[in-house]
Amino acid sequence: MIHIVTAENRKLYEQELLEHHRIRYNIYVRENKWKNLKVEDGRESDQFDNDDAIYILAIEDGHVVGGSRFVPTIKPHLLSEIFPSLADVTGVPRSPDIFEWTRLFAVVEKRDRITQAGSVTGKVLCGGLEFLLGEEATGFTLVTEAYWLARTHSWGWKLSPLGMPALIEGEWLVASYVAVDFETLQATRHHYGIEESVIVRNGITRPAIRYVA
Amino acid sequence: MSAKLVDYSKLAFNLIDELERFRTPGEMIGRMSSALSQFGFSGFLISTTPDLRAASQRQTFFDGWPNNFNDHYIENDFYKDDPVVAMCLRAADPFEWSEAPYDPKTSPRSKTVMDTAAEFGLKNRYAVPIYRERGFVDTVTMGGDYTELDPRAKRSIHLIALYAHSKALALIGAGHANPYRCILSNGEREVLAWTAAGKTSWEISVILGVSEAAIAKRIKMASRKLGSVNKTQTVVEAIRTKQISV
Repeated sequence: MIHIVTAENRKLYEQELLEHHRIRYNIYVRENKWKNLKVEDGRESDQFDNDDAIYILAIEDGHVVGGSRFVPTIKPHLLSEIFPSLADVTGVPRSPDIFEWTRLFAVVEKRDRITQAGSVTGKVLCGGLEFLLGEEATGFTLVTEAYWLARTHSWGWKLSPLGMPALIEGEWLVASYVAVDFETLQATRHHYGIEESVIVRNGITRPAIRYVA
Repeated sequence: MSAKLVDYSKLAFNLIDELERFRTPGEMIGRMSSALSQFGFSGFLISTTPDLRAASQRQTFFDGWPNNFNDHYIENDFYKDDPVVAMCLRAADPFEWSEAPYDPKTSPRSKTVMDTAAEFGLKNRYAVPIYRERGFVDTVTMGGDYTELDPRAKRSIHLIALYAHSKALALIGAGHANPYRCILSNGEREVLAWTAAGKTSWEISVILGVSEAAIAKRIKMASRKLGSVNKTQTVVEAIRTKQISV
């Protein structure tokens, strides 16, 4: 199942969050060879792993097998601080009801070459969309490799571009805005053969959308 | 007119915005072609990338090539020796035709492919490989007689290709279990349209100025794609899937 971890219920997930940072090290530092990441004790983090971050963790048999991170766009985030040039046409969307979706992963052993019902990737995607809908968010922003974009089509995602693709450290990156509604969730569920909610909530959490004066 | 004055990002964004509204492949091909002509392209093609080991023809999604080049390409099995195809299967990033290497001495057929394309008005091509799920690679290719592409133009085309591919899948995929299998080429549609109008294969061969065997081959290919058992059913399927109209 997919667990929602915010600043308020983080104490209930201390072990899982440590495990998640270790997995992120394996994936983003060792496998993908991303640079400029903070590495400590074999755990990866960046400046956006702060109290504003909301994690979704796929936990199976007590172990983290996948996950992702949401950061409110009204706070500093990857697109606004590191890659604003990727949104050079529309500007960086910043609104309480828009989140930035980053660090989407499944552990190596749980990645399928073919789409299988109940796959971890499918659960993380559906969990993320369900979380956003539950919080009454209207959409999210996404910084990805350009070649990666095509697969969002089969998930039924409605993308619009924010700027031109740019070659950054040898990779073509592109920023997109994705509108979220119930049809988006249903289409992604259908693609992965998921029929019901995948989300578990533990502890008391405040609404994720916070309006700033 | 100076090319420097063209606002490439605006061109891309306007076109991507319009993609949403297209309801038929014809509409989209027409608009795409006119937008791409502003970059110096005379046509484009959205297709799968043929798997050379499996010796399978590519499946064309949208055929926006000029002068029926795609039919010529398919009939001559050009995919086997097309250096651009070979490059697409190993490149993750967009590239220009000139970057796809081949040696005219050891691969004379590759030279034939390139020369023929140039004769059809496609001296240069820009290809964007698109990675779908399950390891499939599609290609969006644009071609023309332009000499050089502005780096900003390339970024703009890259973005257009990503969104056009997605839209092409949406337009074609609706209602088909496997949209990749059933897309007719321009030549096949032409033959089926004349067949629907009551012309015999011999009559069509006279109208189009090609051999009767070529007409039969196109009908056979179309029938295989549409899963039909005879000529009449092939025509009916082509009409039902809105690939020809009567």
